[in-house]
Amino acid sequence: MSKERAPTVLMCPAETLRMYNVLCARSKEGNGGEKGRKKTKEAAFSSRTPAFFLAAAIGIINNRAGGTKREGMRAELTRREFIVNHTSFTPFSQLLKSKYELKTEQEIIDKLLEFQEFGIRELYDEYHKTGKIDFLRFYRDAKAHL
Amino acid sequence: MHVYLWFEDTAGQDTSRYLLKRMVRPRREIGRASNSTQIEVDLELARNGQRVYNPEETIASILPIMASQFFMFHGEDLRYMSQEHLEHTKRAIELILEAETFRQGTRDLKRIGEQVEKEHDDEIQKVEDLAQLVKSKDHFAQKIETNEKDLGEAKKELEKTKKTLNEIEDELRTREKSKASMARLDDLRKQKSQIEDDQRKLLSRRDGLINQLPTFVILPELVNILDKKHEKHKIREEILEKIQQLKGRLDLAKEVSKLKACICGHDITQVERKFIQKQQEKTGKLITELTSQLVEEDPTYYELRETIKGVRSSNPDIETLEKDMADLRIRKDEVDSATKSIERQLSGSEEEKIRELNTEKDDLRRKEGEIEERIRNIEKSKKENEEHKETCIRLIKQREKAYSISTSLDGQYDLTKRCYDAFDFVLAKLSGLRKSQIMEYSTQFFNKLTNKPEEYTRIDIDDNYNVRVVDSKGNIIFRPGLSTAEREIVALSFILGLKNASEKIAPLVLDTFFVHLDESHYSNIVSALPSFSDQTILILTDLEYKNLKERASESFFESVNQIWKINRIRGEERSEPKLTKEMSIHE
Repeated sequence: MSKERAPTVLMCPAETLRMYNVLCARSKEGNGGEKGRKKTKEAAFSSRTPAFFLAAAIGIINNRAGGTKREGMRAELTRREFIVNHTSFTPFSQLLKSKYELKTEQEIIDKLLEFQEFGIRELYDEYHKTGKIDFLRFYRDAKAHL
Repeated sequence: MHVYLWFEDTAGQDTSRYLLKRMVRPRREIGRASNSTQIEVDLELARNGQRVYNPEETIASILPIMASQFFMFHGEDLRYMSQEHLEHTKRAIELILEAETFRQGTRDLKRIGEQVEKEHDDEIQKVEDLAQLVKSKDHFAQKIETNEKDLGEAKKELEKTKKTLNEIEDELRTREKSKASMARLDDLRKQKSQIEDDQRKLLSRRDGLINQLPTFVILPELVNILDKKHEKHKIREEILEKIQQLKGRLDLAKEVSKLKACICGHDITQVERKFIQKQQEKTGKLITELTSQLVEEDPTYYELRETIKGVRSSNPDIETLEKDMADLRIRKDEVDSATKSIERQLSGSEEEKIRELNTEKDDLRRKEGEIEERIRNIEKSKKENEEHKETCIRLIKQREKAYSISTSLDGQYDLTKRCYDAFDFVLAKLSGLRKSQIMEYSTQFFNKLTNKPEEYTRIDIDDNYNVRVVDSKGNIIFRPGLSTAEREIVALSFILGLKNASEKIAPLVLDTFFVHLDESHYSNIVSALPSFSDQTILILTDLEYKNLKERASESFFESVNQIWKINRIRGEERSEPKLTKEMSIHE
């Protein structure tokens, strides 16, 4: 892989960040404007990284990407090292490189950011409606296609 | 709570009107009392409107002599007696011996003895050498007096502690059911804590699986890509194989062309050589052609294959996890529901109360041990002081002889000492005799009343006035080892034994006695009750009376002379007795 690295901090739209916060139980409105764990609901994800990869996976399998206007990306989503050092990164980069002829880490992360935009909205909508994420559904769908 | 009692004494020349007021309330510093030691009782008596300052003595003086000899045992007193109260038992035995007369005599003689001793000491102190010894003797006598005072206080404190302890144990016994529920509740809470632990473990397992899930979700995509890569890889492998085959053929042709004859011995002709050469050229061309078709191997092919292998092997089995989580939720719901149901049965205050009683019990047990230790120390110190005093007396006697001092007081002192020793001896002897008599009578009653006549043989009172039961094998069963009903039966048998041994004709009054009895004890008592005494007065609650009506035989009711019903009059804060049944006294 080319050594062209992604920026240290990965940015996303403020709306996306809000959805991540809800899914990871970090909610500003949940605790009087202060950051803190919501006690009323069980967190769907323990941190943003697994949520990021699952959202990206949903985008990839549906081949749907969200908007990628850089000027709209004002919120800090996560740090680069959390993504590239995650166990999911290698399979994802192999898939994206093969599928979209990507070469550099920057390109792969940009693609992931595009796909996660769609996925996170899907996850957020489900969580918003049902109060939980049906992880088993993703597992079963994947298993059925194998 | 307060009770007012108005009565008139018409025995004297003038009629006196009395108002007795008894108030029961929790001690001020406690607020809410949980046992009888935390309750304060005030007794006030007014005669003709004037407050009397010694109510108990005044009541005793106006009671008819026969009435004062009644064997009256309040239900609660009986319960108290049914516990381990040695002093109480001893006092009860001494009561029928009129031991107080003996004790008063002993006390008077001791006082005379002390006075004589003092005068004797004053006299011999005139001899300078003896003055110091007398002083030492007085010093030890004072110490003994302090020891006795401390001992008395400690014993009283011990008695009080034991009484409170028994009351608490009784209260805990009545809450046995709640205790069992609490044990179950504790068990359920342990289970809940275990479930919470399991839940934490499952959540951590879930986090791990969610981390693996994204890769598993894209696995079909990865497999598709690999399939495509595999197609190319396969074609390349086939070409390579073909090239390999052709190269093999070419090498063989080269080898053959170098030979003179074939392996069958036939010489290779020129025509044949030309053919081989042509074939070599053709194969060479084919190899070149195939080589030009050979695409470069995709370097990611093997990496992807390894990745897929890894993802497949780390199957994030969310299905099993969800099942485990559902099972855990069911378990949690069951435990929660059982906990809530017990908590509903066992109100928070009840649970708190039992814990409080248990803590109080432990504290009292500790205190009991401490007091007993203190008593042992005081007794030891008292014994030492007595020995020192005896040494002083011996030395004084020796010196008296040496100085040939003799006073007229010596004889008087010896006489008083012998007298009060004799009183003590007689009392102890009589006590012993009466004790065996009481044991015999109590056993007779006990055998009629117990529900285990084949198991228990007799009632025994040991040297320390401990009332216990002896079973058929000769084993001694102390009262705490018996059930509440059995203990009450032992206590009642003992009281009836005392009554018979007292040689006095006295009625028996039982106040709310039937509360703790089981079926068989109840039947035994009800059938034997008319024979207990010439006159028995039963004080019953409405529920006890209802029970009695249902269970007692016709012959029992034939023995009943009068039934009075005491009704509380609402709004007037008083009760009114009403005669509901009057029969002629049975022939």
